Amino acid sequence: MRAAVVENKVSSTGTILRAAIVSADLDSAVVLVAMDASVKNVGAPEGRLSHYRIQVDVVLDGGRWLVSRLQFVG
Amino acid sequence: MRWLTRRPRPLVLVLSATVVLMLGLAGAAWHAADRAQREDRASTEALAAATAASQAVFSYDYRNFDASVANGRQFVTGDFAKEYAETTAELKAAVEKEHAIVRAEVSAAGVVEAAPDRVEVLLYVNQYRRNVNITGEKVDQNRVVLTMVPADGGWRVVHALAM
Repeated sequence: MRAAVVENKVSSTGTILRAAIVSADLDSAVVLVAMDASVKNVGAPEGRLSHYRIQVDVVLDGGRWLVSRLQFVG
Repeated sequence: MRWLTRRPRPLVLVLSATVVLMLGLAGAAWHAADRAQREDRASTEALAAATAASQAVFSYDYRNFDASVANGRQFVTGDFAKEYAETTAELKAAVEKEHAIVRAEVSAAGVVEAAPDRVEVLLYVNQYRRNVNITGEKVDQNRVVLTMVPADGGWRVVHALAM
């Protein structure tokens, strides 16, 4: 992936529109993150807007919330 | 035993102050717990209502468009009820002309923020569309934020935002 990103001069800048809790307990949660990203590459130097629907599972691990799963929701 | 009544009684004062403080803390704790519980209940109820509302409001069928709208109307209130009535009235001719059928399904939903009387819900809503201009079926993958409020004995959509 690194080679493809560097060769095509790809950069992606994301903006989070909303985050929402699907379910949660004291040490784990399922969260939806709706975000847009402006993706630039040699084919689209001005950037192209991508819309994402993400679901992130997080767990409390040693006092920090860490991502245990990330998926794009169909 | 006169000395007993005449002596200053710092211990009594301290104890009284402690009791008052503890009652205050217990009251505050109870209030916070009560509010958290009401927010939890609001979240659960509004999330379920928002999912059902999305399927109703974002679906329609040219063969029984008025019934689709009558069904959707049960899930809306306030400003959005007005917006829904206006939008569907404007949509009707095109829907019937193009034989449009839209079936909305919620693939995921979560709570953005919750108060006991107002909950914002994010939903991933898929709309499966058929009409005379399309071969087969097309899918729109939407992101919708519904603001839910209690009304008419349930939770209703008072605002909708497609992002």
